[in-house]
Amino acid sequence: MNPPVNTRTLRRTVVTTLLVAVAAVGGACSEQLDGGATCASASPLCPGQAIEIRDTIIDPVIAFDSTYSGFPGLGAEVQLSVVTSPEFESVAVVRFDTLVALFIPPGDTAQAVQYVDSALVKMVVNIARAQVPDSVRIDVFDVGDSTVSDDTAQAPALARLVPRWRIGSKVFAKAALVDSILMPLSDSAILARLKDSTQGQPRLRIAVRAQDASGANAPVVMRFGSVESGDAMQLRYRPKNDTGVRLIAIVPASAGPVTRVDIQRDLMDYTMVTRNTLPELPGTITLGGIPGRRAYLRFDVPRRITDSTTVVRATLRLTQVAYPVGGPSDTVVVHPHIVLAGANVPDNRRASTLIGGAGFVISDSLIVTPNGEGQRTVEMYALVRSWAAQATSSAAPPRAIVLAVTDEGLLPRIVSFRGSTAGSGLRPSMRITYIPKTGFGIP
Amino acid sequence: MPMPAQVRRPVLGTFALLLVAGAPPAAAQGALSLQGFGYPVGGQSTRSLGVGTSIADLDPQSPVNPAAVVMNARAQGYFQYEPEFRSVRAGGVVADTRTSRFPLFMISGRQRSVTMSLSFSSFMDRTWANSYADTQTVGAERIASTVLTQSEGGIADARFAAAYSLNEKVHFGLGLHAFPGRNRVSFGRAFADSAKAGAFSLSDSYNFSGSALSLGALVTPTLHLIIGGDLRFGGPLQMRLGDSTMVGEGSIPFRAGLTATYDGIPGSVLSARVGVDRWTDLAGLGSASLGLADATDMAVGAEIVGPRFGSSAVLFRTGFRSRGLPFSYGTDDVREKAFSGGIGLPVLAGRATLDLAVLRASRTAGAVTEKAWVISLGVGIRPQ
Repeated sequence: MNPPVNTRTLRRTVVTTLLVAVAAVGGACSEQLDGGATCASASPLCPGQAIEIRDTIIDPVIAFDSTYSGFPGLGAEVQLSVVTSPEFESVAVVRFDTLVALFIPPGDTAQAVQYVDSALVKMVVNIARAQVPDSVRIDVFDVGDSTVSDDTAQAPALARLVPRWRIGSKVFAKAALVDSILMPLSDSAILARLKDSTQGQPRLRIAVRAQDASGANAPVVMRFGSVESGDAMQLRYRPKNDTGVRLIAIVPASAGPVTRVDIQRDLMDYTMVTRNTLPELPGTITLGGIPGRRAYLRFDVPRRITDSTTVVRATLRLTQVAYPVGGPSDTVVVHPHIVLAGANVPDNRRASTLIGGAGFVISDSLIVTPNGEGQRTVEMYALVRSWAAQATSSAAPPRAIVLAVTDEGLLPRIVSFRGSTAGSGLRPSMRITYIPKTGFGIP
Repeated sequence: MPMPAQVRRPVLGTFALLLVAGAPPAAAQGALSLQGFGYPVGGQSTRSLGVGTSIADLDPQSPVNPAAVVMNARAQGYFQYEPEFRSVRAGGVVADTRTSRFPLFMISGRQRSVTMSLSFSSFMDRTWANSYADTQTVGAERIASTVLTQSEGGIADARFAAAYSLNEKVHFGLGLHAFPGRNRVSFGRAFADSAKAGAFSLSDSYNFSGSALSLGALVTPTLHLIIGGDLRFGGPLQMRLGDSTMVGEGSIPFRAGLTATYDGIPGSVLSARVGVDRWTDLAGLGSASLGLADATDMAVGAEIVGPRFGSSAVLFRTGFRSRGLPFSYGTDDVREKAFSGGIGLPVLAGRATLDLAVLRASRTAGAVTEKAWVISLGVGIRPQ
């Protein structure tokens, strides 16, 4: 016989007990499994958590390397590099093939230009990472030879980089080279071009050169805005001896080559190399310079590593060769780019243009100077891992990278590395740290 | 047949669903109870846990003694939820973890003098996670890293049991066991960006398959005394990497248990149990360095009829259990002691029972101590 009990008290006790239980049970609905606080290294509480990591060096690792020049393409430069040094010189060429030979004075009708005043070229200057002496003389040459029909030939333009065809010259102090400058031109030379109708529309093509004005022949490296960067040079002139008449502003345009409309836009403005005696280092991978050079490297890494292991590190080891031109302050940043071109692009030069952006897949980069030498390393484990993921793909891109410098084609700095034909220890190699494919987690 | 050690989703599925989903639960290695292949949850009902498992061989809801199912109602379903709050202290460091388990599901029915049951319980729970700072040698340098390692799953015990009543005092039972399981283990390290090393995470999935046969008897030799005993004979237990590569093979451990209860004192049931588990039968399943120890399992407990609640009486339970755990900590065997208490509450006019048990478990080995609160909530339903 069960003892009598106060039903109300009993219900209250049971309900309270159940509520406590429900609260405790509810509190456990969200798990907190992490007990790692007690897992000191090699603790018996957490056994079996050491993974064997192996290390190997693949040498040689490059199956094929080649250096290609001409990047970016002619006229595709985002800035126009004007360089003068003992070994190298480049000028900026700008075409104004749509000169305006008519103007409308205030309250009058259109008239032909018979007079030119205040002719100048406005140039946006970029002296970041430049070499500029205390004073710079900028010369502007008329390089448009109306007797030459080949619009793409450089020789006629080079031949006109002489005093006879100089239509403007001015010395600028270094401090004045900020933002933009106004470069005065010969009014008579502009007027002569306006009246020259031998090619139909009057045109003016100029080349801009910069030199040390002190006579010490110090190197000059500077850049000007281009059509590609949206701050191209602008030709201005006043068509009448009257300050009430507004200046005519002309933007770059190229009327030739007539049969190649596709490249007319590129030829609005471009960088033209006028002298290049920089040395070549045979058997090397060479990057940088004007126009830019980049290197295509195809790898030969054993598939037993790339396809069957987990790669923790894959360090490309390059041996830099000191380039004879360039100082310790001429920093060059080298980026490895993954190659996106597949097997349908057998032309490696073309493949070296179909690449991923800097930092895509391979986030590492090199910061070197031309005169540096010794081993340099680039970490690219993410790319090697991606090779494994692509192993079964019929459209997998080649196991290759392209090395290119930042500001490619804008600076004359060149860096070199030993190529695949160099001896062991000097040629490119790869150190791979990986985890073999083994079972783990077995108690 | 891959089956996780525990079913973590809401319980109210069909039994068919449970058959493909159930198995052991969670916790974290970094605990004494989770060494080796995990914690031996043991298939104990909430009622049995409330009395320290001292009635395990006589409890129809505990899939231990197949003969005990004769004590079930004509048709019955039972499931259980069991969160554990664990605190491990090692070397002055304390790690608190919280894990949820659904360790037991069972249905049973009777046809004349034969009672049958189908149950799904957790045999081994190997679910844990660890994250901690560590250094790693990569190439020629040691770099800082964060270890991220995790194990999920375990081995389940699916049992079909049939019991035959020879007469009112003698009952026999036979259990056929299948031990499916799956254990997914992942290991990874994360490095700082400046280390220029790729974070990695490796994972392997192991499948288990095993079988066993259990025999049991339930005898009432004298008034007020009931004795139950069980024997489990283990068949092979295989561990494979994925579906094919054999990793190891051992045997389901032999088990023997004997329970005696005495209800000669009105309103009370006193019980005691002793059992042995030959865990060394698992040798060969894991690595050669896996420490295994055979264990004894002893328990005492009492169930007391309390005041009436509605038309039925409330049951109060208490007990104590002491047993060895199968996997050693280094060279030290791990022992577990647990004090428990609970209540049993009939509801819905006796068509359902609600059991609640609270355990305070203590596990020790070497200089490591582990304490846990385990709350077990069992619901039994009798459709008619």
